[in-house]
Parts: sequence; structure tokens; C-alpha cells
Amino acid sequence: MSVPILEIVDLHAAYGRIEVLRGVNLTVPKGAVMALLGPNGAGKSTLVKVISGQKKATSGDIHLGGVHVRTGGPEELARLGLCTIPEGRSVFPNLTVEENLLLMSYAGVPAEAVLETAFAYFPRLKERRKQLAGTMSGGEQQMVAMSRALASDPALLLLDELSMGLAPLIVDELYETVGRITETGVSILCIEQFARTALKISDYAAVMSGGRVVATGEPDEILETMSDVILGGAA
Amino acid sequence: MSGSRTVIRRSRARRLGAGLAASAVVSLALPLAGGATAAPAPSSAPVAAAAVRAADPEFAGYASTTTATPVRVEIFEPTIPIPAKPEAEFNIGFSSVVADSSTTRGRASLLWPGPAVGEGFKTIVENLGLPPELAGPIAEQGYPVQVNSNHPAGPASESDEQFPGSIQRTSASAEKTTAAAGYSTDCRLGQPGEAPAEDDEGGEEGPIPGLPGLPGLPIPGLDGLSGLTSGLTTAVTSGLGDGLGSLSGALGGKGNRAEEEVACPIPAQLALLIDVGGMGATSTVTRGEGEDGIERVRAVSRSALGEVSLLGGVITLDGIVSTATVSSDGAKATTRGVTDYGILTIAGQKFRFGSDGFEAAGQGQDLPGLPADPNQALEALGIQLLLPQPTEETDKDQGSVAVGGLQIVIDAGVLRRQLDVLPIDQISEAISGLPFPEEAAQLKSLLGAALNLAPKFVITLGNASSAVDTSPEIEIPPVDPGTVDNGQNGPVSSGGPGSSGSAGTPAAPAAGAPVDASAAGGGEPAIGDDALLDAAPAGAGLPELFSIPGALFFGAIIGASVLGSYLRRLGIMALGGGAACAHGLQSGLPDLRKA
Repeated sequence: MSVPILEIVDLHAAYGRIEVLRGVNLTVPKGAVMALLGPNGAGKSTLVKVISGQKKATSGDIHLGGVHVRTGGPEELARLGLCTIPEGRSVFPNLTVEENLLLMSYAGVPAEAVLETAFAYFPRLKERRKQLAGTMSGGEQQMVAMSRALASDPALLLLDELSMGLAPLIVDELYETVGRITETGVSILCIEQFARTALKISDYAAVMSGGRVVATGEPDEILETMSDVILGGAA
Repeated sequence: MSGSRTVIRRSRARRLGAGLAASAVVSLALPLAGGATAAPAPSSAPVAAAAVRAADPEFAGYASTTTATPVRVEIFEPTIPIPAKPEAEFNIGFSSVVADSSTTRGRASLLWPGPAVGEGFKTIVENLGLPPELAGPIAEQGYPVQVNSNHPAGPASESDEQFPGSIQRTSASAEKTTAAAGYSTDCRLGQPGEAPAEDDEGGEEGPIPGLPGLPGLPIPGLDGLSGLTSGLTTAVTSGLGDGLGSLSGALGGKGNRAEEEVACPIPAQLALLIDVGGMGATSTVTRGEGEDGIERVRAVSRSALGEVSLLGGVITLDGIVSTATVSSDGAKATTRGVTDYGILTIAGQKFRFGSDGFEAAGQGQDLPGLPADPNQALEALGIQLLLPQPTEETDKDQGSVAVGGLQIVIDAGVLRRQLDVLPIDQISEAISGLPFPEEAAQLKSLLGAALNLAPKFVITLGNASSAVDTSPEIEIPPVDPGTVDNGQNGPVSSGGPGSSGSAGTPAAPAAGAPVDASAAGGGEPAIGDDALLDAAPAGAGLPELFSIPGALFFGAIIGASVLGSYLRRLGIMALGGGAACAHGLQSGLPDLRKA
């Protein structure tokens, strides 16, 4: 059995006195897509922040590639191949698509490589390369954000609420791209509140509720057993 | 306050008439009273008074407080969420005057909940969780049942008397500040500050304001007769005079007295027959010259419960009357505090039972203590009856007195222990098991706490306290012009610490800089604004340290931070940074692309 790309053991985190993560245990095998599902407020986004180094855990362990990560800022982890696409997309609205992408060249990636990767995954961006990102649709902005992340050649991609505020057709299109990304060997932890689409492309699924992972398994099992209980039919 | 700030209208013709009538009677009675001992020297007194009046007062400033409340209920219960001791307090009838040389403030309230609630009413209302539209206006007006006066900021007087006979008024001025709260059918309470006598017990106690008291007949060996004659003269001057005064006032006589009075909706003719005063609290601070021409500060507080006056004061019945009087002329303070637990006055003959003993027709006797057995029986129930003695303290020009009448202490903890036979624990568990909604969680905890309440009640009847302190005039040392430097001979004043800041004694800086020559041009010694030096450099006894302490302080913090950071890194390297984690994995930052 290969070493998992991400292993979380009894992770706790809190905002002040409010404990949000209460002993999370989760394993993402290398090269797999893990869908992390759960209702609003379950702690999914907090878990992403802790994994990516944006927030400190109060206790627990995070293992990346079989190494115990004790310290490490988000910029260090990003350099080592852990890339996060935060919810809300976070593109620069006053910059063009091209300028948004070229920002990645400051991280050491050649500009040509950035653009080539982006336009290969999302040809539509090439048509709109001179358009201000803020004037684009939500789905197109999400494409820019994903392109930016892919330009850094990630080994583990954390997708936080990819479908937030997007039309179903665009969501399907984006998840098709995610599926293509996985073919390149990138491991993906896909955080989703609306689960059915994410489960289509995922290899494994886990359900969070109340700061804990309450179920893990194959997507079909999860969809069958947990949809009524956890997903509330929202999937 | 929304109440009527009634303009004071009715004159005190009654009292004036009483004074005139009584003066006529007294002029006839004086020879009867034995003349030689009682009659003052008519020719020498005004001269002496005028001479004293011309002298400067012994004090320049003063501070005085006086408070009276007939019934005070204090509740000590720690579970009440008010940060005060006692946690809850009610004063039925409350008057207070806080005065000093610059500001005087009076407050009267028919029901005063203590300073914690009365002063903090706004904060309490704002934290009740009421809608802002409702809480805002209520909180804005403050505690509603009170009137306040303030000098010089104003208002100079205020009254709010919502129902006939209720009294809630106060007025403030530089010379006299008074506050009164209570109930009386003639809309008047005892005016303790009016009587000029040093040892009086309130305005109602004296025969007639302005009328000197008459001593008894000095007949040795005939105490009873002495008391009788004394009572007779007092009856003539007091009871009859007061009655006449009441009569003249009732008949509409007008006097010259300029003092205004609140209009009383109850007919004065009724007060002539019977005047019922439920309770009253009056506090007064006056500053002014007495009849002897000496300026004094006088603080008088009086609380009374159950006063009945019949036939215009010929017969009076008093329940509990506490009076605290402090007077100071700047050199010496005098205090007097007394509580009477029942006074019957018939035609001036007083029968009273007070904190200083029993008195009947001028004869005094010590007061026996309370019987022990009933007290012990009551203590078993957690009830104590106390007769507190007046507390009087004087220290030269400073004096204070506090008087409390009957005090009843009810300790509910004793009774609460008797309830232990009841299944209170089961009730508490039942309450905790009730399916309260989330919003009512606080109510649930309050219900649980209520079962364990054991408050202690302290009920004090007849509270009065007064205090006066005076300050002597500050003597500014005279200026010696010869000590001022003319600008040619260097500094003259040594400029030692403590000498700075005084006009006319300019101190040279420590460095010895000469005084500006322009300040003392010519050789003439002159003192002007230019000659004054900054007091700060002269007063400093240590050399300037500049920012050395600050630099040391911040340097130490920075150094400690750097050292701590390195120690932490060393510790991590030595103990954990490179070691395996609890799961047997190496610690560090992996390159995920190569994993």
C-alpha cells in the first residue's frame, strides 16, 4: 500500500473558544479524488485552511506524503506542491485574464508555461485573455482560478466549493476539467456542499458533520447511505 | 421630571402669626419665669454680636453631607445581579444634601432605591433587553421618583408632588440647600434648618422659629415644681403660640416672610384641627451667621415616622423621630444625634422615650434595655431587634453624627434551613428536567436559584446622618520684593524643591541661569509676568534622564523576544523538530511532487 498523499489524524481547530474541528480523521490516497461533503458549518472550509497552513490546528497531526508537517506557512506548502483554490475564486477583478495568470510567473513558473497550461485546460480563456476578470461570469472566473492553480504544477489540489454560485452546466464543465486533471496524477481533495456532481468524478468520499468525519467510503455507498441524513437532499 | 415643578406661593403667615402672638405672650410670661436668670442683657448683646459679625469667619471652605430616610430596607442576597452591597435597597422617603463651598446639591425622593439603582437606572434599563423604542425614553429620564436641585448649575428648586399631601421638593442656594420627602396633610415637614438654636432637634421641635427658649424656674430642691413651671412656660410659649399661629394662618393672615411655599391642595383649616404626617425626611445644610454673629455651617437631617398634630399643635404625637445635627464654625464642631421612639406633647409638656432615656415633664431617666427572653426567641427565628446608639464623632472643626432608630434584622437563612425538611432538591431536579426552550434557559436557571435564596433583610427606622468639615483659609506668604533679582547679580533664590509655583518668589533653574534682565530693568525690584520662571525645571530634583529608561525597557523586551525565539528554535531542533512524530513519521516539509 502506497503512502497516502494526505493523512489527517485527530485534528482539532478552533476560532477563539469555539472549537470547529473536533477530531478529524481523513486519508487521501495518492492520485485519488476525495470528495469531502457535508452541510454548511460542518467545518469543511476550516479543514482546508488548516491543511493549507492558513490556520493553525490546536492539536492533531497532518501528514503530507508520509511526512509529519509540524510547521509550514501556506507559501511554503504551495511551493512544495500543495495548492488551494479557495471558495469565492479570489481572482483580481481589475486585472485581465492574462494578467491574473501571469501573476503565477512571480512564483517561479515561466509565463509561457502558465498561459499554455491555462489555455490547454480552458480554451475559452484564450478568447477572453484581454478581458477584465471582474467582468466575466462566475464560471469563467473559476476557470481562471483553477488555471492559476494548475500553473503551479500541484501534487495535491484543494478545491473549496468549486460549484458555489455557479449554474449547473458550468459546474459540470468544471468537474469534467477536474476529471482531466486527475488523469495527470494530481491528488484532489474536493470540498463540496452540493455533492452529486462531485461524487461523479471522485474515487472516495467522506462526510463531515459537526467538526468530525462521520462517514467515509465509495461514492455510491456515501450517496446511498448518507444523502438523506447528511446531505438533506441537496445533492 | 414630568411632575409639576410647582411655583412656591403660599406664605408662612401661620408661623409668622404664631411668632407675633407668642412674642406678646412671652413678654408677659418672662417675669413669671424668674426674670433674672432668663432675661438677656438687652443693651450689650447687639454690640457684641456686631463686633463678632465684623470678624472674618474661621473657615474658608466647607464640605457637608446630610441624609435622612425614615424607613430603609436593605436586602443582602448575592444572587441578585447588582454589583453593590447591599444588593437591593429601598428608602421610603429619602432626602439628601451634599454641599461644599462651590456646589450644593439636594435630592428628595419618596421612594429611593439606593445609589446603585437610582444612579444607574439608565444602565439597568438599557440592559433589560427591551426594544430601543421603549427603553430609550425610559432610560433617558433616569429614575423617575426623585427631584434634584443644584447650585449654581441649576435647577435652583424642584418639586414633584403627584398626590395631595405628598412632599418631594428640594432647593439649593449658596446659603441654604434643603431637600424634603414624605407625606403630611399640611404639605409641610419639619424644617430642621430653620431653628437657630444650637441643640434643637428640628424645626418642629422648637416652639416657634425665632422665639428663644425659656428655662425652667431655678428653685432648688423642688424638681417637680421646676418641671411643672418649665412645662407651664413652654406650654404657654409653644403650644399656645403655635396654635395661635396656626389659627392666624388658617384665617388667611399674611406675614412679611418672603420665603415661598408649595401650594397645598388640602385645606389649611383641616390642618388646624388635625395634621397627620405619615413620614418625612428632611435634610438641610446652611451656611451663615448665627445670632451670635459667628459664621457656621450647619447640617441637619431629620427623619420622622408617624406624626400627628391636633388642635394646631397643642397636642402632638410622634412615632420615631431621628435627628442628626452637626455644626461647625471652623474652629470647633458640635454634634447632636438623638432618636425618640414616641413623643407625646400636651401643651408643651413632653413625654418621650428616646435613645438617651425616658423623659416626662422635664424629668429624665435612663433607658432600660430590651428584655432578653423575647430577643432570644426571636433570634431563633432569625429576627433581631436592635436599638442602635447614635454615633457621634468630632475632631476639632470636623464632626459627624449618624442616628438610626429601631433596627430589625431578618435573616432568611435561618428560616430557609427550616425548609430543608421539604423536598426542595426534588423540586429543583424537577425544574431542571422540565423541557424549557432554549430562549428560556436563563429563566430556568433563575428558577433553580430561587429555591436556594436566603436573603438577609435589614430594616432600619429613622435614619439620619450629617457631617460637616471645614477648611481653613490658605495663607499665601507675603511677597518680599527685595528678594527679586535685578538681573545683574545672578540668581538670588535658591529655587529649592517646593518653593516653585508661588507667585512673587521666582525660583532660578537648577543650572543657575540668571533671571531675564528685562523682568527687572533699572535697579528697581519689580515683579511681573516676565519675572516668573517656569516652575518645572526649578522643582525637579533629579537630572533629566532623557529616554534612557524607555530605551532600556524596550531594549530588554526586544532582547528577550530574540532570545526566546532562538531558544524555541533550539528546543524544537533538539526535542521535536527533527524527531519522529507519534505515528513514527519524520517531521518536516515534504516535496509533494516527489512523494
